[in-house]
Amino acid sequence: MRHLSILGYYFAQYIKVRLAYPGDFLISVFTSLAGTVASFGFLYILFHRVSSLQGWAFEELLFIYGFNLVCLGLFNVLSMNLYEFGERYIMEGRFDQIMLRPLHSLFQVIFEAFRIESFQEFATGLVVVVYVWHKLDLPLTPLDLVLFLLMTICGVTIYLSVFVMLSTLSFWFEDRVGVSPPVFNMIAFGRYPVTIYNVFIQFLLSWIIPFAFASFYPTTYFLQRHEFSSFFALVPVVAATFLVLALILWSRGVRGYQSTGS
Amino acid sequence: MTVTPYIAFARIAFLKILAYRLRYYTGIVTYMVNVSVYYFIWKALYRGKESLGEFTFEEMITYVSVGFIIRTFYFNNIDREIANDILLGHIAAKMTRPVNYQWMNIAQAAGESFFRLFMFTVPTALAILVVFPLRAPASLHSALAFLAALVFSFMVFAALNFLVGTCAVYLHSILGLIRAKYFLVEILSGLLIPISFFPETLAEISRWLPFQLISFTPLMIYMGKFQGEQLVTSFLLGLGWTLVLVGLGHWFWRKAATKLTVQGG
Amino acid sequence: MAVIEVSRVSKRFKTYDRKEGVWGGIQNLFRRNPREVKAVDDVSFTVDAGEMVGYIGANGAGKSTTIKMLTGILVPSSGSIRANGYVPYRDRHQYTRGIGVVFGQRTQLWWDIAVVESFQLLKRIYDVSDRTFEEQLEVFDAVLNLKPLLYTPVRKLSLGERMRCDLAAAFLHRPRIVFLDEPTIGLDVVAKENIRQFLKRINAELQVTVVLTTHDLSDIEELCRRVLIIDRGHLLFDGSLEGLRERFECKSQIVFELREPGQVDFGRLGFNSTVEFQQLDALRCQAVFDKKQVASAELIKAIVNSLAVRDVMLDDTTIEEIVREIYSRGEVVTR
Repeated sequence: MRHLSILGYYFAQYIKVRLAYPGDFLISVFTSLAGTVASFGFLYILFHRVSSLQGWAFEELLFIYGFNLVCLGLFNVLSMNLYEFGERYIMEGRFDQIMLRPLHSLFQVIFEAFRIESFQEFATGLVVVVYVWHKLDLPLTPLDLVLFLLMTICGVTIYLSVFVMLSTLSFWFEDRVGVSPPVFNMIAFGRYPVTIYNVFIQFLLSWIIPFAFASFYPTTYFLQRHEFSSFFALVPVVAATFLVLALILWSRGVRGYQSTGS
Repeated sequence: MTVTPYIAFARIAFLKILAYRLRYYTGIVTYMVNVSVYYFIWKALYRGKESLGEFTFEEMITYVSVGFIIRTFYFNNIDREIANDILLGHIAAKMTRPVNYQWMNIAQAAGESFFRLFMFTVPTALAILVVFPLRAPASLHSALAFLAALVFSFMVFAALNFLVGTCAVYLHSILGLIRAKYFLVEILSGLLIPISFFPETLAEISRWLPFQLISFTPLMIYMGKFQGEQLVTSFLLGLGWTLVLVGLGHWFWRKAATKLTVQGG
Repeated sequence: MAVIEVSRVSKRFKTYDRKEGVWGGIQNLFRRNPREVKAVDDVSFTVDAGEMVGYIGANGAGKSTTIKMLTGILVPSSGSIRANGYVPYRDRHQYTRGIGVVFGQRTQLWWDIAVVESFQLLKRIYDVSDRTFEEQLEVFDAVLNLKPLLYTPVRKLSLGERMRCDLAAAFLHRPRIVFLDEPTIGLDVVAKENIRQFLKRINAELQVTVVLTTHDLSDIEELCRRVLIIDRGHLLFDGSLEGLRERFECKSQIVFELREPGQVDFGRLGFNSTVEFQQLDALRCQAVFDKKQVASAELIKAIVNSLAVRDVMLDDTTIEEIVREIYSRGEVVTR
């Protein structure tokens, strides 16, 4: 409860900071939206001559893309400090301050800054999902809604866990590590049915960096592709496992930091 | 304008990059990932089809791969660096130097690109060559013209970044703008999908914009699809846009610098 | 009662040598040369509850490393630390609730938000009750004149203003121990005085134990009865300020000014064997002596009685000079 109230306060503070320059904030929302529109533009250009991708209709791909954006949007809101963790916290020494407060250090790092404009991605993704849901006349029961919520949480958790693990590398490497960009680009893999990839990449996306569990597998249930139902059932398991791994790795990193300093 | 100080800036950029060594190891992986994603998408799209538009599958993979390979060369972060200079206040010290700020940045970018050529472009090209079936340039003639086109590729990209970076004088945070530019350039330069693949109106508009010079034009030259008159037009367009964008940057910077000196940043 | 116990603590780091230049940079890509540095070497001391202790040393002497170990940020390579009943690095969560820390170079307040919002956030983080919060703010305002600053974003504060806010933030949750790393660095005389007054008062009224590091020895002279001196990782001195003076204050000097210009015959004063005289210019003369051998009152009396002087100035050795002396000798002194 205490953490939740602090989180609320952090968030309120950050909104205030951003709204101190309203014009700036509007521009960042607008440019962020432009990026999202561009990515849909890409999908449109790619498919305006071809109507399906290995048996997946354009609308179905749109659904996967939209669901991906819902999770990714929320993740982007929360992940702002993770990318700059090595530089902002370890190299500039802000992590000392974090260590001096009686709160979980990861909690502080994640919730000290938010990329608020990324709510736009969440909203756009949701609009796309609703549109396809309606267009393809997919069934909609209360259970589906609950599952959709659960899948969203799992998706965000998977992204956060993966990138927390990558951030922990900054505890050990003095270089400004560029490990996140290739992994971030791999999120794009998850936006398409895994069946288009070869076995190696399918394995990678499922069990090593489980982005397929954060976007493709969750959608198969809603798209009535029941051949993937066992993967769908595993989504919460994968999310929980990676979260635990990330937390373990983080506390190891903190211990490493305590013995070496910055 | 003397050239020596700019060479010094290029050298410093070179050294700075050396310090970020890990980025180059991981950078190669990033580009492999990018090429792989598009390889599989195109493979799925080409299934059961001989060609799409004017491209065969093999040509498309060559297009995408070489596109990412040359991106390792022309890419730079001067937009971010200029924004940092301005937002963190380093700009005052830099403006007192007896050099042109725009050319200083372009020189630094050139130093960076020169470094990338050896540390990044070559290894990435080798890695991609091992995994994906690429085609050689259409002819020696095309290969030489392709290399020449890369100069415009670099100049247009650098000049655009300079313009975007300078916007930081008027904004408090520039990350959103940089992201938007990033997506815009990715699509309109033809990096992800050849411009000839675009819906007609968009393709027509893109042919008059500078972005195609970054990726689409050199790639079409590489594949021998731009020859003769079209080649000449491309070079003239490249020269024209370079002059316009650098000139625009010069003008914009002078305006911005006045604001900086009057209001103290 | 000891509230901090440091026993035989050492801290070793590994650093990497980097080569310069283009070729060196390329070599750095493939190879790094590790080297071990002893930042703190076998340091022991205790601090009693309510004490205010000055911890001094040159840059890189090991001050910050010690503070970081005392606050639980770093784990000692060997030796043990207990503070406030906890092992700082191990019991970090409980321990940090009872301490306050100020790093003079860095603020712990949130940069873009108003000071009071930072305080509100800290109030929640440390579970400070509304009443305590209000009371503390009143106390701080009385000494630090905080109210006019509360609604300003931290980035718009001057260094002195920011430091006042940072101090308040460190004391907000009524910590038992406060660590101050260079709290007066870069401040002007007035701001320094402000902060010293605050520390004196809060130390006296609330019985807070304070450990402070500083470059500015006048901080120590005004605030601390006891000093610890560290150099190159070794503790060189641990004792009272008077003890330090007594031990090292060898040379004092008197400068006196004559009424009329002229050559002075120092032999008439009768201190030839113990005092070193020197005529600085036509009007001013200097006498350098050891306080243990010569009482300054006697010497001044002799000067005033025998010579026509307008002015006499006694100049004691400053702590700064003593510290410099200690560093150059590298002598270990403990109480």
